[in-house]
Amino acid sequence: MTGRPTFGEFAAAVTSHLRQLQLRGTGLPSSDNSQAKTDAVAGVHAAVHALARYAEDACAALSAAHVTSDHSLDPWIRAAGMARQALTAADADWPDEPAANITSARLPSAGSSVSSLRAATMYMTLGRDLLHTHRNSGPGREASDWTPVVVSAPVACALMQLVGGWARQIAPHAGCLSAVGAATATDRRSLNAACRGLWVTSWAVGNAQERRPIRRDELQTLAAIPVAGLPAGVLPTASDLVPQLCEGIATTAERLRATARRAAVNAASSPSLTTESFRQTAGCCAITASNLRVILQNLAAHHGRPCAPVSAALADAAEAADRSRAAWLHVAGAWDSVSTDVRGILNAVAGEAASLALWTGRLTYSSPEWTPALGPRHAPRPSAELAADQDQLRQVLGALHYAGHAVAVVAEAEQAQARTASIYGRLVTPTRSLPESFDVPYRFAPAPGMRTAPLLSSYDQALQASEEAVEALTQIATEIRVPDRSLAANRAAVRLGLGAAAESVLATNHARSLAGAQAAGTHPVPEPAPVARGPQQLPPGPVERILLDLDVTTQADLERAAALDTAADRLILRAAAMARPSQPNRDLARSAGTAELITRLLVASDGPAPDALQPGASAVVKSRQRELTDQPYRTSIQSSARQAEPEAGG
Amino acid sequence: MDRLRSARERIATATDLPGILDAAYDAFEDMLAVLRLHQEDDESAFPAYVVAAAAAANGRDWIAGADTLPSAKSRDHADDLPEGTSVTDIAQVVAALSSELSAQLAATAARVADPGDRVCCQGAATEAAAIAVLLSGANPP
Repeated sequence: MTGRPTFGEFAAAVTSHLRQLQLRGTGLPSSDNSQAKTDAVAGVHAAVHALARYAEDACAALSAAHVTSDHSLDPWIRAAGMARQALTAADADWPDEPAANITSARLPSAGSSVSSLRAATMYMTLGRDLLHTHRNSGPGREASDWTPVVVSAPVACALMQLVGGWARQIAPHAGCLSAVGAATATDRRSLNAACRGLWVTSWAVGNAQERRPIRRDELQTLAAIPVAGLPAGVLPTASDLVPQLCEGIATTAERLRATARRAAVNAASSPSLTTESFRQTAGCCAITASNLRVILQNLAAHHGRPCAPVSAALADAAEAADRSRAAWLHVAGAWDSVSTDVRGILNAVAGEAASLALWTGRLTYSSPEWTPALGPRHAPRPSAELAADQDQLRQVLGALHYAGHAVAVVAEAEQAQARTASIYGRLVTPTRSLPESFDVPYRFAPAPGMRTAPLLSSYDQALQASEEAVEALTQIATEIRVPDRSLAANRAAVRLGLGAAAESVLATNHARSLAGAQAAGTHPVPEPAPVARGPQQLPPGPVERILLDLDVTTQADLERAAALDTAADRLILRAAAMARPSQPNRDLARSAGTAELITRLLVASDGPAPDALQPGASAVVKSRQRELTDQPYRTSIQSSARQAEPEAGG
Repeated sequence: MDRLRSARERIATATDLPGILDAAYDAFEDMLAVLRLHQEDDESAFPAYVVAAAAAANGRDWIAGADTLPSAKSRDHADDLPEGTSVTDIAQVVAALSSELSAQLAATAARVADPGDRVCCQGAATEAAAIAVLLSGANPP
């Protein structure tokens, strides 16, 4: 509804291109085209590099969760750790950094497996860039509502599930390329390492998924994360219809939330902390709540479909909105007898609050030129127009959800500002309005407690009433599955139980419990590709697989083959455990075949594997060195998206 | 309603700066009290009344900051509030008062010597004009 790209769109594109990779087969370059081979190998390297960065991000988020002793996530913490180690080592095995510009002049032909992998990698990178727009908060950047969600443990787990699925889709391509398509011995060695890293990732994620499955709402929360930043502010026009009005409400509500939270930070000394701003904000929030009440009452009284199933909930929400309206009126009234030490400025919060009141008023009433000014009686917009069909109803309630949530956020932010202003002595009152017993030789005197106490108390009531209203709207939004679930998903993430870092942020940003919906939206939610099974269900080993390929179905023969494979596994593991300390250049996975076997053993160990089976020490050292000098392997979202379009369209 | 009408007469007849400021302060207070009392009487008028009340409080604060404002005791506002009158009638009376007030304060700001008083008069005149705009289109039922 806010019209911004979401992570789900990029993730879906990754999965789509990797499916193309699988459908097209390896599409190996011809033996006489060395440049094409180089490109193919570089494509795998870039993909592994991107996946390694994702694994690092997930590890960071999950390590915070580990601190909280949330042991339900232990399988995912272990999986992310294994994936990170395996992918980083594989990434470091390449002698060079991956090409920064993955759409170089040597573009592979559209429709080839190489182009599919490159497009998938580009979307991986863009998706990670999108997530990092919320992490790179700092001076000059807007605070993001989504930061606690992005760094939350459930979202990290969902991310790892996607990574595991992608690794599973890429691994066969890397293996085949190593077996028959690699240009040089060095390439083959790097591809083997990549193959191993990809398989380890897939198996580790598969194991975690079996022990603690990722829920669909967790995936949806990840998919709903939008790019950070505020949309441009706009005012309604007389020609706006219900869809445009809903869009405008969502956009303005988002701007209002962000500006309110930002203003709360500098309340102690802000020159824009003025009575005029407080009064206008309170009055406009009362008007917005009143508009919500009128719409909700209107919809609740609409007895036909599609409102009938939720008419009772709509009536409850209307009552909650009315309580919010009344509470905000008390706030406005409390400001009648209190002022601030600065006057004459309307801050951004007051402006956005007025804008939201105007947008919601245009949706509430039929008149296309409605304003708060008194005029001819405005008839409410017919409920049939608001709820012409199920989609229309969802859109309208989604917009009301945004507006209600913004009002609740404003209540919290303004309450904090008023308290800060009171503590710092910035609340005053006209001396003339005080009883004669107050002998103050100035035009304004510090506001006495008998005036500040009701003011601060009124904000408590406004916050509580506003949160009850948004809670009622959240329940309806969940019930009818509103079209844009960014907000509901955000609130759902809060309920899902976030990591320690997220919780600490929430403690300051969201304060009160944000009960909410289970995410169930229509954002593109990528279906995670199936990952390899866990160690308890190992795939057939080489002997058993050959028998299966020979169409052997005799149970006794297959069991015998499996026993031979298991015996071989044990022999190798025992030998590895007794082996001398790893030689720097020893790599047991020199070929695609041994790489898969070693990978199988690593996963089968379900824990710390013998050092001899781990990637070569030199690779790990290089990996650490690269971490220290890692340049962001990123391109700007806009330019890369443009570059990706031809491939995406193809 | 008598109270609002008498406030308007005070504004019109005030000649010196202290008298104008004193009448303006009380006029804003009167409008604020009336608007708060009736802001929930009619759903259609609710937004205009709420925003106008905020403007009335802002205008009063501008006047309160003027150096020349007499430090007289504030009046008792509990009497003579126009209960039982339609929001339309109230809006018309308040709009007329605020329009008169805006004109008087703007004219005063143009001739007053003290910069502080001038700024206060200008600020209050702006708020009074806003009230007039919000309420002058009143013709609900």
